[in-house]
Amino acid sequence: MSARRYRPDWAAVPVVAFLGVFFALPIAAALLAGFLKYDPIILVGREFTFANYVRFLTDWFYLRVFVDTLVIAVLVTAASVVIAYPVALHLHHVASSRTRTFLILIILLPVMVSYVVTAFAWVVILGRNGFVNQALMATGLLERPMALLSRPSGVVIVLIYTFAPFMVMNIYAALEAIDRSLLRAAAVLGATPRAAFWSVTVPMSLPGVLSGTLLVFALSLGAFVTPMIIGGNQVKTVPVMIYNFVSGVFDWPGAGAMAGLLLVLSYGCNYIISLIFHRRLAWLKNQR
Amino acid sequence: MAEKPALSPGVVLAAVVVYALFILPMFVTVAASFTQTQTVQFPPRGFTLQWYGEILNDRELMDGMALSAAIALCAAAAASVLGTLGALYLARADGVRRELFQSLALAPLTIPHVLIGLAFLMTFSSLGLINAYGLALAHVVICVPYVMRSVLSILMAGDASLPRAAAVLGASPIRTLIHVTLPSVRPGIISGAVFAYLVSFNNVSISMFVSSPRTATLPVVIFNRIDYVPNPSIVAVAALMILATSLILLALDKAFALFRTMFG
Repeated sequence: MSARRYRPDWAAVPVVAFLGVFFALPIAAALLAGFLKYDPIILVGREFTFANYVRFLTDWFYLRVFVDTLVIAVLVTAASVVIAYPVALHLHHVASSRTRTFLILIILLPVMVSYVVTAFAWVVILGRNGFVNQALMATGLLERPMALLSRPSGVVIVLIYTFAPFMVMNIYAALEAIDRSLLRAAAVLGATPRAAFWSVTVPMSLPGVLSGTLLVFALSLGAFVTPMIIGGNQVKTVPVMIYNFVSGVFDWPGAGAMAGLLLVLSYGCNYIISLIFHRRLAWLKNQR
Repeated sequence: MAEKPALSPGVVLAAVVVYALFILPMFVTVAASFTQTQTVQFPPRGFTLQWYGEILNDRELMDGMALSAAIALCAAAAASVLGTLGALYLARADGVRRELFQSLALAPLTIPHVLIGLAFLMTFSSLGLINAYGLALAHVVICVPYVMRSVLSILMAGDASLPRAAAVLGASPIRTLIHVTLPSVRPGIISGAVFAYLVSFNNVSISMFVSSPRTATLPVVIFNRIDYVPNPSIVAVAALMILATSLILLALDKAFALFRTMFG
């Protein structure tokens, strides 16, 4: 019995110590800096102030960037669901495990390989000197290269490509977890395959849609490497602006405050999305 | 009765289109790396391995590659130790302390990377850690959750009667841990470590904040060069990263199941 009771509480100590010192404290320091005054020489002053927050929350220029970032995140998430669902269904139905492994590799590559490489691949295709522009110019349809990427739609496209795999994997996992006897029961009770799909498969896959949505939304909200590479300086999102505050104008307190707002926004949206889903999924929750 | 009713052709077509669109950029990148032209071209003109040879002469790229490999190795090793310890704790703990521990250890997955990067930049610059050591520390932090989840999934699925049998037979808790529990979670540690290696090697969002011109990881070097007219050797490096990542993913047993434990 002692084996069952044995709790290696000591195992938590090195993890808490390491993450406490090298993760929690730095995060706390960055958030705290958001409440300190900007100092042109030491960057982060000593005076406590709400000025950074007030500045971002009262200036329409900054609020606009927040709204744009939210819109991009909503579009990327919605498009990811639409794109991911048929793929997840298809993966769920592929009989050969070899084919499935190969298809899953195709889907996983954009998130596993560096985001720099993922974004760069799109520059080769849609960039100013990219494949599409060259093809259009060669056929005489275009005289000068078009800016296909450095606009919000380009950022949205590449972000979908970068984050949709998370949606595919979450929905696919939910589909795999569905109890087959439910489908059989539906068939026995006279449901056509189509009816069984809409009344069993889709509702039972919603938890996967939820976890995928939470993940893709948070990632899109926080993405900055892809928008910077794809958007050039034409597309402003909150994380890109934070990066510019950090390494462009060296306003670290400003960056801290904006990162604080981003964190609140990210966790707030997470909470709201789960709330909406759980209200709809109350029946599912009782089942588990 | 067919357990899985056939898919409608529309769904299959949609899926095939998505697969094609997903592989296209990777394919284009690899193909463009063989071009004989001095600028990036797709479709490539001719065929040459010249740009792969150029990488060898490119000091910055070679240094970046070596640095990334070294940091990923350190980060994966350190994260394996910390992640395994964390999983051992989580498998047995309960109550508020478990919740607190879990939110601390998994926070690197949910906090926006731009905030994590900013936090590292602020603290590490005052500690003189904007160098390879700082990069390694930062990467350990973002890698710990992956190993922890990977090991925890095995611990939770594992058979609890083995450690109990060891205890009944008189083994001390530590002996049980070393001779029974750890060997049983070894696959979880290994796949978690490989995953952590991939995450660290490919990371750019955190590295950008902790890199200096003299210590830039490979993805940061690529990032810095995209702004200029990209030269085909950058495409060759990107192609190498795509190929290496694919091979490692294929070698990982059940990459999907692993991915699912990481991001479920």
